[in-house]
Amino acid sequence: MSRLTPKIDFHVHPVIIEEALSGDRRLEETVREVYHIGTAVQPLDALAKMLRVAGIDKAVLLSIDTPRGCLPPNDSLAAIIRENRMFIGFAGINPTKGDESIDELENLISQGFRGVKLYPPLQGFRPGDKRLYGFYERVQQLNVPILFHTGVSWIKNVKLGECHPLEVEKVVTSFPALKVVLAHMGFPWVWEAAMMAVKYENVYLDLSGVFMGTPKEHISYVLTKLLTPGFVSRFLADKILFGSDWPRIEPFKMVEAVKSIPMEKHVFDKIMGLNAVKLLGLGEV
Amino acid sequence: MKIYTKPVYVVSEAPTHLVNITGEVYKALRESGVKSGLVHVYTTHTTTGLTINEDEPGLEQDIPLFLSKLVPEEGEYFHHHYYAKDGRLAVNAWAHIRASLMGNHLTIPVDDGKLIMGSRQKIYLVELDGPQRRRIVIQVIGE
Repeated sequence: MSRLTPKIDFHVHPVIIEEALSGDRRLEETVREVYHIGTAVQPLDALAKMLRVAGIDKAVLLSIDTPRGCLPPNDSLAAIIRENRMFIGFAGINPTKGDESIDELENLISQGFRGVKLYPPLQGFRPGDKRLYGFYERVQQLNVPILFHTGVSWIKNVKLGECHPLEVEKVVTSFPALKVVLAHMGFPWVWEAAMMAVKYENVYLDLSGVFMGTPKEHISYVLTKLLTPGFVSRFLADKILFGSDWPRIEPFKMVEAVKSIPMEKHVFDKIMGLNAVKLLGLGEV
Repeated sequence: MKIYTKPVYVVSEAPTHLVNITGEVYKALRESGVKSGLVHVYTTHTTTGLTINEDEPGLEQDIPLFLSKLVPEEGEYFHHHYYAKDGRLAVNAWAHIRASLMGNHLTIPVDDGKLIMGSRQKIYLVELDGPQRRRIVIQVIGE
């Protein structure tokens, strides 16, 4: 892979990574109960190999502070990102706890986390709730992005209606300098998510997840049928971030799917990594 | 009669990958102390296969390449739908079908404490949807 075109997977859940679970079988059971993931636990080395065969240089590992605890725990994730330059950590934080949430945010960012993952309907809040504004204000000051879950959720207790990307609009308009990423292109509300990214300077979309077929079928449908290649090229080239959503889909299959789409090279390079480098303020990848 | 069972874990390196596990099978045989009997090698996965073949780099590429032509990724597969059991979409029918063609177990006779194998024969785990950590169970049965 050329050093000039880094590839970054912006959406990886290390919930079945051995090192993140620290051998805790009860924690593994909790992960399976919350996320309904049936695939086998893998060592970090296997994830690194999955990313390498996909040509990916770095991956954003996400924790979520669920009602059953942080999955995976921020402590385990902090150790992984400290010891592996391939991985970037987004902290799992419950933003509804006022000053406690802000203290936790500051502490985790000081430990090397580069962003925050929020999953409002799973965590039991609405993004536009004004009680969270102090938290958003501090995230904005710290200049790190928030990745919001939007679009289809496979989690049983999560209502699809609460995953609509426009749920995040009040946050975006109230904190115009806050960097916001809408996960999964907001699928199936792709146009709504896309127009958020077009209209608001600091809103981005991640391409992760497959919801209506194989990776090739899904990515082709989203980028060439729902949206059009011309629209993606002229309006969203600087706003889409490649992501897989592992372990719900393998990075290699997602990279192959994006490669199968007719796309100008500069657009491909931005989506696959350059946009993420810019958003995360990464230097040499 | 002795029965010695040993799980072996390997992390495959690529989406399709022939992993030579002959050394692991010999090691299990030595550990068992069995001099005469059978070694049974079994993969606990549905997207891997097992085979005995020549350890020649060209063949290690030819076998998965031929399988991919025989069972292409593109196609209409009933398996490709939301699979609640795994909390994700199933997208790898081709890997399951290729694995079915390969088979999931091998049996090798043992005599005088050695595997009865031809000079060119090696034992392979065939990864068909990697890279992943995979479990192979080696069971040595005999005296």
